[in-house]
Amino acid sequence: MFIDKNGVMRMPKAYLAGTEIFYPDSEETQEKYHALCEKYGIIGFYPSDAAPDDEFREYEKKENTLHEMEVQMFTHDLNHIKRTDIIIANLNDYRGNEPDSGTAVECGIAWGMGHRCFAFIDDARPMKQRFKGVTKVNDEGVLCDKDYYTIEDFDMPLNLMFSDFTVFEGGFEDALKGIRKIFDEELVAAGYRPFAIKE
Amino acid sequence: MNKKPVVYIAGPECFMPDGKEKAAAALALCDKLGFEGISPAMGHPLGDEIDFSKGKQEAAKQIFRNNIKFINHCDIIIANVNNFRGWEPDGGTCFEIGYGYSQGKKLYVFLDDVRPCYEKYIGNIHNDGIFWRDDNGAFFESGCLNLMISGPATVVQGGFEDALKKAKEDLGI
Repeated sequence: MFIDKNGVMRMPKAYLAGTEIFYPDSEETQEKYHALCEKYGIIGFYPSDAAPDDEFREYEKKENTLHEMEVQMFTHDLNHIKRTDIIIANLNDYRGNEPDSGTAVECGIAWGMGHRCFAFIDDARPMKQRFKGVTKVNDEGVLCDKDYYTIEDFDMPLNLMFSDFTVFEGGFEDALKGIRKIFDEELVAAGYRPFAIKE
Repeated sequence: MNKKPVVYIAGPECFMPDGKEKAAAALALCDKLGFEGISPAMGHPLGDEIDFSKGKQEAAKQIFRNNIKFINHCDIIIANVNNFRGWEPDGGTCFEIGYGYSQGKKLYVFLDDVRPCYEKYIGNIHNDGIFWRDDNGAFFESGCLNLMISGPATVVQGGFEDALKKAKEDLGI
């Protein structure tokens, strides 16, 4: 339960963005994430969930090119974002020092559509401290990577374009706990009871 | 006379030692080809002055809000999606692509190497019969970029100038 933008109390719908879908155990993760969402009073939409039968039409392929497949899958994920209220993004470093680009694009779309934006990351210390790899200091005393590209120094774990995200340290369930706490505070402030977590 | 199309210049150049020079060159190119360029690295009259007196996080939020204003003002985003510190493009740039998409902006992205991700990747890859996967088991997309970028954006091989020229050609200006 949460209080939506119109002040109505209802179940929040969350788009679950992240790299989990790339791994062989994605189906197990999908099941686990759905169960966890239910526990914390959230309806989760995992990227590979089938599109519900609602007003969002899926893209229909005309030819069978790679680009059409990409547009079709983009449309599928986009529709999941459209049917949700919040985004919970896994913004851990992925194959290097940046988060997965697809997840980052989804964050931008969701923020642009007015979603409440949440993320989780194993190490939520400021980027300067959590940066993995060779670091150097340039002539101006600024911390840089091996190529003398500066490392952001804004006391935040992620690129400043994610500065409107509430970032939780830990895994998916840690994020859900944190989100539940925020939503419960809002429920109580509006005179409702907090959500009873299903153990 | 129609207004010049406004281009938001997105990319990780701001982190590079010659970032300002690169941004200035991109702005000059926009001007030359009939566009109005906005580079977040160079500032713009639309942006607010960044006030560092309230701490770094507050300054970051101001820069974020400025960038959002610049994107709102633009017609086209041209983004550098070359790999950045690993095998993914810069996360901030990707956020901007997504935000731009949500606001109906036309998207162009450029990168040097347009081979499929698994071909570009330097590291062990394993074929499971359907996908190429890395040592952690994560599969690679079939295209040269994550499909959340190549789905909505026009992908151009090369640099900023190549992408800008493609936009010019598409617009017929």
